[in-house]
Amino acid sequence: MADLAAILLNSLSYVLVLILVALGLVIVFGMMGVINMAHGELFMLGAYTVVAVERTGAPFWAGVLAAPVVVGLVGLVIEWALVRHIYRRTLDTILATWGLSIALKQAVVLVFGPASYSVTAPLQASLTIGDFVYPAYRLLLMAVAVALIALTFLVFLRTDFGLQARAVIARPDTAAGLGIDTRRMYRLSFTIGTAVAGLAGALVAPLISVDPQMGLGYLIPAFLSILVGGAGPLAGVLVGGGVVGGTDSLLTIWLSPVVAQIAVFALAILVIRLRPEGVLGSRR
Amino acid sequence: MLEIAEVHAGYGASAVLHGVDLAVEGGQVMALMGRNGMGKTTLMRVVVGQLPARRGTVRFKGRDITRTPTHRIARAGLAYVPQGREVFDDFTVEENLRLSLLGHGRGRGPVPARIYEWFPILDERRRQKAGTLSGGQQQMLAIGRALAADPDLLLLDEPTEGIQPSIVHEIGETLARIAGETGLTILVVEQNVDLVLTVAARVAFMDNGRIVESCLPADIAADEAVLARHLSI
Repeated sequence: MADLAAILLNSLSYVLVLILVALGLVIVFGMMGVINMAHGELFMLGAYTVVAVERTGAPFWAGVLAAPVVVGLVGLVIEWALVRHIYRRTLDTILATWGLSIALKQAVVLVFGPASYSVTAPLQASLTIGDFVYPAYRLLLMAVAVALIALTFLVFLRTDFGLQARAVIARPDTAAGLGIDTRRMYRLSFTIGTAVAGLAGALVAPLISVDPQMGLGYLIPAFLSILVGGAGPLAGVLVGGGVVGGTDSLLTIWLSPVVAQIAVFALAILVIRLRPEGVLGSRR
Repeated sequence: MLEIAEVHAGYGASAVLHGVDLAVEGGQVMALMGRNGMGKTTLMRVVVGQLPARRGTVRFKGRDITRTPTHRIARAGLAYVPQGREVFDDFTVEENLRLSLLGHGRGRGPVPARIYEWFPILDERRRQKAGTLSGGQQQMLAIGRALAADPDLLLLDEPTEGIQPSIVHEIGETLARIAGETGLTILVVEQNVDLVLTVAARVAFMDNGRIVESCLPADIAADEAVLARHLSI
């Protein structure tokens, strides 16, 4: 019973981080038609920011605070140098950002070397209820992830910025005709998406090995989550992340990582075959 | 107010506009008529900066806006109601109206009361999703949205397309009232003669990417040959 609770909580924490990563992807795709293959590397840069900050002797939390700033700035530069030239040319964005992801990985290898780092969790305490013991940091991570997801939804669904952003997603030309600076909305949204990915990478750093390949492990399930959930509504990401992340993490524990991967891909193919617009997507 | 000189434009290899010259004076309501495919919508898109002009210039309030981005043109006081209305279906009526204020950096202010005076139905449906409105109501919303930020010039592309005749007349009367009350300059692309006669002070005809004739609405009413020449197929 206690084992099951721990497994379910581990699965939930994976799902929440996956949703954070996927949110940035879906905003950027929905708004500007950009499929950002380098999104996983931005997540990776968040984790490496923690590594770099810890090396200076500063505490873990300083790294967590620095990560969204550093990665957001990197995102701003990427938007200016690369992405703004290829808005709405989806196929080109895949190639260009794929190249970028390779470059970012190699840059990290040059600076930090190819080996993996481990970051020590700042909270070593555990929560104990009877014979159930669970690391406190994981619980904190989940709480922060839930808060961040809620904040992202709040910003996009309840603020004036969000209203304009959704208007640009729905009808970019009309939004511009109302005086909305679509370029500025693209830049802001891209930066927010990358900053959230960086923060997610920083938060998850103590739980995984920080290495140059870590981004891919989240990018692919994040894409699958969007496909399964439906790219239109933000809420689709919640469902997709839950289904994909839940299946993946639970089957990894109960059966094997290989079976879990096969199951996730089979599931994604099934959903796309039966509901091309995703579980929550509207049929057109 | 608006001076279009020698404008050429098109899509890819095909040229649609072959040197359009058109001037709209401040406070004037001008109608632009012509058969489908003659370049009326293309001209609108060039004026608002959605499609680049290959040659020629567009001047608004004396300023060259030929290469100005769409949102800057909007903020300079040129409002555009595109063909097919383009309201945001999933947003409420009020959110649609507020977007125009937000785009003009006036997001803190309320929707001006006169918008609801001109279009009372928008007041009644404030909290309703725009997608649930009828075509005519959506058109009123699109016009109200364009007017919310106090433009100097309003471009309307086929405001009566797909709208039932009784509402067409109502929209015409309201536009005439707004122009009368505010001195707003309007350039309206329209096929509906009733609406043109209700609002316009001048009518220009477009054929094959050029302005070929312009006249007073009274001339149309008096001589049916004018319309036959430019509108019949």
